[in-house]
Amino acid sequence: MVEFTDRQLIEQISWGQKDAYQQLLHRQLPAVSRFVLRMTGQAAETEDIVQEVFLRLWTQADRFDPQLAGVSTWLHRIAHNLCIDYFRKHNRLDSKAQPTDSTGGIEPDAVLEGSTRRQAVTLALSALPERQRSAIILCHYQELSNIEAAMILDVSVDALESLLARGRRKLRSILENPTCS
Amino acid sequence: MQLNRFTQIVEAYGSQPQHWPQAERQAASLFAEQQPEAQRLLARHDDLDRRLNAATVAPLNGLEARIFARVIGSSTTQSDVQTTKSNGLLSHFLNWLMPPQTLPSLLWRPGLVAAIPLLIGLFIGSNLNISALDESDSWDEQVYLLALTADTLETYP
Repeated sequence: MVEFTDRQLIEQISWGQKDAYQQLLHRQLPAVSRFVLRMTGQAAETEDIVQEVFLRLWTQADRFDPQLAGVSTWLHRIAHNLCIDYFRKHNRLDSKAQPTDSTGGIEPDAVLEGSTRRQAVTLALSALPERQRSAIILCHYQELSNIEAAMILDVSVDALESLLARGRRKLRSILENPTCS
Repeated sequence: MQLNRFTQIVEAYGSQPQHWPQAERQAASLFAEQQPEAQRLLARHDDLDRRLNAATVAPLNGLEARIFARVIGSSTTQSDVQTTKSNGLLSHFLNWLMPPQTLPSLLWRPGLVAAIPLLIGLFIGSNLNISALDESDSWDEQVYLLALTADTLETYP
């Protein structure tokens, strides 16, 4: 199979090429779904949002402007905006999500220490204001550059750094003293 | 690199150089190696980064296949919608004409469709006969009037 760049694939998708869509879906889905799962903390909601992101990739590929952003950044921006819409619709902006365990199952009482620590971090992340959470997820987990993350959040790089610093301070505070979250 | 900017970088992006801004990464790494204050700062942030790294998420099973089936299956681009629409009308008609499962429908529907040309022919044929009758009636009337005229001339010269 010929390996195309993301930009070549998205151009082919705008012509209706299903093979190109399948290739780009396979390439981008893991990162986008991880981002949305960390944002919402819920598997079912994640699936709905991610499906909408990739539906837009199929129907709105001709709107992608390669001069403005990379394909991954564009998809993350769509995903971020859909998450915000979801939080607003459900009156959950800046509220505490009740995340499912990262393994998708319910933890037994006798949990391993590593799993407990993982859950604590997931819960602490969900307690952050949405924009701080989003900034940390984009920069730490998605490994996007600060310029890309700022573009997704529609803020300057200075504002992004402020969001990150405040988010990390709050995270540390929650993890050191969980009852204050 | 100044301590002030290095502190801002670590407070925002954490202790791991791969998360630092690319443009400042090399200078910040060099600064971290040389400055004890920078190393103390990194140590303070290291625990949070290790905790963040440990919080992994599992992939959602089968999501790729479900998305592909939903998006491509629904064929929602403009051209696909038009193609689907025209294909849909044809297949609706064929399904109505010859449903695969019910025998009575299989017999009477094609019969009905075959009778349509017969009905159209009967309709057209009956209209043609009416106009032909009208034409013959008008000739009869003219002959009758001519006959009346001749009688009239003989009676009243």
